[in-house]
Amino acid sequence: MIAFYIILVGSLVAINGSILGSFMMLRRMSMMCDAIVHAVLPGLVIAYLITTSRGSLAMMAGAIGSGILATAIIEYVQQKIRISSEAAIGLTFTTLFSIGIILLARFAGQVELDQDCVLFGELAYVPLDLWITDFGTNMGPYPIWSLGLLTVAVVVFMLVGYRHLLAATFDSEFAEQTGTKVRLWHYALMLMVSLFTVTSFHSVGAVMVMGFFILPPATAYLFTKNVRSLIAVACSTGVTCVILGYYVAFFFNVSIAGAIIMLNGSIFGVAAIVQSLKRIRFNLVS
Amino acid sequence: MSFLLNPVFLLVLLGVALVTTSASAIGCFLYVQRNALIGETLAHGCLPGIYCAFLLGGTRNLLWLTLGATLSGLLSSLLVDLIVTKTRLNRDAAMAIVLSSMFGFGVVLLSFIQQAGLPNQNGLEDLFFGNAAAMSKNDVMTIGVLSSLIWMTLFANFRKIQLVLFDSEFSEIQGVRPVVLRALISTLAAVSVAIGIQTAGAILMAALLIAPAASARLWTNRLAPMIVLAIIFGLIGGTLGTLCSYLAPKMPTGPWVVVCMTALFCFSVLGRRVSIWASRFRQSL
Repeated sequence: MIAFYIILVGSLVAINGSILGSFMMLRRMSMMCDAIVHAVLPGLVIAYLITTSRGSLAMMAGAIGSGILATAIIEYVQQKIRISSEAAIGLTFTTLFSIGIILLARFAGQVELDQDCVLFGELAYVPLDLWITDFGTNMGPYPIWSLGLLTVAVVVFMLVGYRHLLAATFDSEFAEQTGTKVRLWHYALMLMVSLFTVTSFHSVGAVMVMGFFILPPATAYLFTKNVRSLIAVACSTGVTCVILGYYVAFFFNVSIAGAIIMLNGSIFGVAAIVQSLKRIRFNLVS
Repeated sequence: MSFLLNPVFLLVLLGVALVTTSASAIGCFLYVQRNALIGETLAHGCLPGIYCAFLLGGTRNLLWLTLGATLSGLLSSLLVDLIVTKTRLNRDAAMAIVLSSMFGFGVVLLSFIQQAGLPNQNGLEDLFFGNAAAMSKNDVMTIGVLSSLIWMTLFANFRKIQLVLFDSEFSEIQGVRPVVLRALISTLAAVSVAIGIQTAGAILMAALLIAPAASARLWTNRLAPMIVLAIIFGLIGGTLGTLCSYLAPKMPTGPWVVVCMTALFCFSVLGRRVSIWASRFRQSL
């Protein structure tokens, strides 16, 4: 049962990450994922300090707030100040993350989050984090419920927004003319990314969430030619890595999330080598 | 305020100053190349190298760990270039891919080290957020030697680097090989990130490269003055950050240095605005 819970939570993280990450990658905003993943921290800590309850709606609101704030600051700095875009991203998220860490260090002991949790999360503790209702019924691990809800939200978001996001990603002028609000969808995507980060970081750690975002879509991108198959291949790669990663970590007794990311990275490496060899052979034949 | 004259504090301050100044100078070149975020990839990419070095050598000698960090940092920037040239992924995605895989690898190695119960592994987790207070005299000496090496290389090759950055075709006519000098910049960047990991931490090292360069860029259009200004900003930010982390108990150094540097950046933005308004006002008179 323990293995099942851990793999289920990991897979939910991988599926949601792959769906959102595919769009982030296509929009050439992979490093924005990195930025948002770091930038939700101060919002989380502040919301926690105000409400002192973990997993509350307030914490989500805090995280979403600071994720959106980071997006807005980056956009503002890029447009109004004479500074290159990647420097704007780098400056904004490191500062927000620093503020989060300083708050954590200042209120250490009062906050249930600690620095290790922020960095690594721990998938191994998922089965211990049970949700027990007021009547004493055991509803299973808490993260499964929150991630399940998130999955519903992401699927609904995709059903509503798929065409708009597609248009905004590939041809923003066309999108504007056909009535898609490009900026609105941009911010909506950022909101979903922040939501995803805050829901999954207890399980896999804020920095590691990044790998769940980027690596499966990158692998899938090497082999696919349209967005639907990109998302499908990314999701299945992600889930496969979660299952394999769990057993690798179990065997070597190392961090589960780390092993999953490492596997994802190696699969990407193999895929890239295979793909470039194929290209060389193709060039030789033709 | 009595700790200000404490030799231990002065030692730490010297170490931080050496780290921030060399990082700021290298950061200027990366910034001009529009490659500022590579610092983030390098910093995360250093982690597996540090842990491998620890596993192989069994010591926490800074020089040895720095060697590991530099090698794996270089490997990361090489991988980014390979992904960009060999696949259809763009640079942004390539950096994110290398960054997250290397970080995952680092975390796996760290958890392996922790469960293996090896001797003298204390302080290895400090590498994420930095703990300048843990610096020893030997560490500062190592940092000093390495950063002076960076300085000498930069000083000797400044003309050539400038030529390559701004006009790589012309530089080739002049007999300067752009590939070699780009590799040189990457190497120097990897070294300067590697010596800074203990001070600022892997997560925030990127800011030490970017923030002073971005602030300096607002004040000048020329490379040499930009580097000088960036070094000054880096020095001020580093000193203020170290002071803050000493004043408040149990605070990590890295975050404070970053916050101080960003404050300097905001100050630069304001200063530039004011100087533009002032010149407009003078013209209207």
